[in-house]
Amino acid sequence: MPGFSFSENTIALVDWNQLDEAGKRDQLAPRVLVVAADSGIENLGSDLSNFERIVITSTDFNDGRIFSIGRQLRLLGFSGRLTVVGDILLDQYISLKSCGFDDVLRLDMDSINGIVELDHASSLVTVGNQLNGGSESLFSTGKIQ
Amino acid sequence: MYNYSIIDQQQIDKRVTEFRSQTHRFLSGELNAEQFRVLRLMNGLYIQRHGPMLRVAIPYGALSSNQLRGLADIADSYDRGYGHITTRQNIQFNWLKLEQVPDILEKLASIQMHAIQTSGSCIRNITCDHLAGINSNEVEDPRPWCELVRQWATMHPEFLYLPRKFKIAFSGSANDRAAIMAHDIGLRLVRNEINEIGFEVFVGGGLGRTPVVASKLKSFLSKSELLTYLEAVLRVYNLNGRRDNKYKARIKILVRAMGIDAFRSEVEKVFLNLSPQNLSNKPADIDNIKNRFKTGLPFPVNPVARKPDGAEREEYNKWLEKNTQATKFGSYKSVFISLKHHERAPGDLSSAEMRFVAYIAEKYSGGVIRTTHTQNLLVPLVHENDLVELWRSLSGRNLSNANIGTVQDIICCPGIEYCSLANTTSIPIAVEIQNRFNDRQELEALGDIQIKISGCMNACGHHHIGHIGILGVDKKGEEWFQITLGGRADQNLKIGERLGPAVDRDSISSVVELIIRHYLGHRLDKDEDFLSALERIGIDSFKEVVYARF
Repeated sequence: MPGFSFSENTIALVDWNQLDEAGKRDQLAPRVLVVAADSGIENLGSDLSNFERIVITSTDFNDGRIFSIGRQLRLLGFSGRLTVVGDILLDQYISLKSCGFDDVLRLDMDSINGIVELDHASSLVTVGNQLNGGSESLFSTGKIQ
Repeated sequence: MYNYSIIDQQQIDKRVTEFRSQTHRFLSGELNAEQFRVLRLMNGLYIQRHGPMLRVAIPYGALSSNQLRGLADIADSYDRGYGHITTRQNIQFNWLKLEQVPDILEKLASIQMHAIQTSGSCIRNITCDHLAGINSNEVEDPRPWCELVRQWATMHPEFLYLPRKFKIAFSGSANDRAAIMAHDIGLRLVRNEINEIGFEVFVGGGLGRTPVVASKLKSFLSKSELLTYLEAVLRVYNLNGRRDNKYKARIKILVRAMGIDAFRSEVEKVFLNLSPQNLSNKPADIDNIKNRFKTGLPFPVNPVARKPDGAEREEYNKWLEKNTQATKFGSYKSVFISLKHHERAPGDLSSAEMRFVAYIAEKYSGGVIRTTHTQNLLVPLVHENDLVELWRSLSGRNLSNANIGTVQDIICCPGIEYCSLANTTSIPIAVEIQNRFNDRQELEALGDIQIKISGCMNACGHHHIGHIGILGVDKKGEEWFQITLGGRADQNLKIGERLGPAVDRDSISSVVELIIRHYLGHRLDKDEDFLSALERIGIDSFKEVVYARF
């Protein structure tokens, strides 16, 4: 799993929304959207297919919005890679995966070596929700088909 | 009584291993204090005045005799030989050592118990009417629905790091004994116009420093949509609740800021987005849960009804009137065990008493005990043939105080002696008031009066919804007490009105006595209860008499 870096193909949500207001979205073709945990994602629905990856940034592991944002993005139909970057605890990996995230990059890691693909994150015992395993219909554990 | 499936057991066993690892990582410096704080709170572990306090979940207040014996062993092995029943039907141990907590959790897991999500900013223990499944005016037994929501909420991947704590309560009937309107979400089983059973949903209730009576969110929610709808409410809250100020982070503040109509629209929008994904709980889920509830009536011990001796009759009859209640199973009664006595902190139970209650529940009630919102115990189904024998047993242990619902049956937080948040003492105030009304005849004459005491504005003692509420406040290092009158915790839930300026520590129990004697002197007759008399004569009448002297 290679790391990723912010590049010219990356755009922040606030800039993406400004492009929309200016009618200039077609002039750019960003592949990665960066969304801060404290920004709203209400108006994103129709644009999601533009992106290969959406990166959610979190400055506080205790800010649980990232979980709902991930879940909401999957429900809105986003099928690209979903990454969370920031202050994350190992203890949160299984919940992140259940909420639709593919990988995590912690603040204390560098972007080349630090990204962890959640499918292979098994270094720690963490407990998921029993209805999640017992009834697949209750939670999405990955991309919506 | 719900019996764990293999999956249930695996879940809590894994959670023990996880918490053991988290504790080790903290003690070895891998996790810092703030990281561990969030993780330990999510597992019921507070750092209190005397050290760690563990709050053990008693889902919807149901306990088996075996579990109660296990709690007694924990109290003896790791604590000081007692536990404390809380207003949300849980039990707390106050004198633990952090290093031992993983072992305690392992012991709990061996008796199908845990401390998962009994604190922290997550979905807390699900509570319900302590008479669920046995009272005659119930639309449906809410306990299987409580269990479904417990399973859904436990380690829910999306809702473990909410803006603030989140409390859900159920009622199966129109008579609310679970204070559902004082919860973040209250669910009441109701019938619609075509006789289908579903849920009436309330949102945004809560006490604390901003007491709010819940608003109605939905008049009728079909059973199959319960989890999906809860998911929608929680998602709206998780994404929009305030995280910049913990005193404004509860859902009640969000609902008030958005307005109930806008909040409802947002929930419906999310709900519609979820429905096509077929996320609803299936009938099989609830049927599986119902099948795991132990059912059946206990067999009577005595072939014919025992009678009290002549000398016992008066005492027994008072106990029968105050501490027992009819059930929907004709010859079976529910028996309350009062944990309110001037020689005990409200809700406290010694390990010896736990073992004794476990024994009598096994003997007379199929080995099932319930904890109540009012910090008492309930032996749910006792055959009338056995009542005298049971009463004698309880009397021998000083557990037959006939004071359920009376002025002695005080709800009270642990207060400054235990809690690091508290401003003032709480338990000693309760004891002082109980001592002032120790005369049996007077207690009987007073009827039902609910006194609720909190040692700070976090309101763990539910003072806002007491007929008489007492709130401890700190004024320049001294303990003072504000009084509210006219609150109520039932289906007509109401926040009490403040009487006036706070009174000092030395005066508080005298003031409460004065209020009660003023009621006694001005009620029309003994059938006019405290709240009715207060409404008729007005709070000013009480103000005058109190502030003329204090």
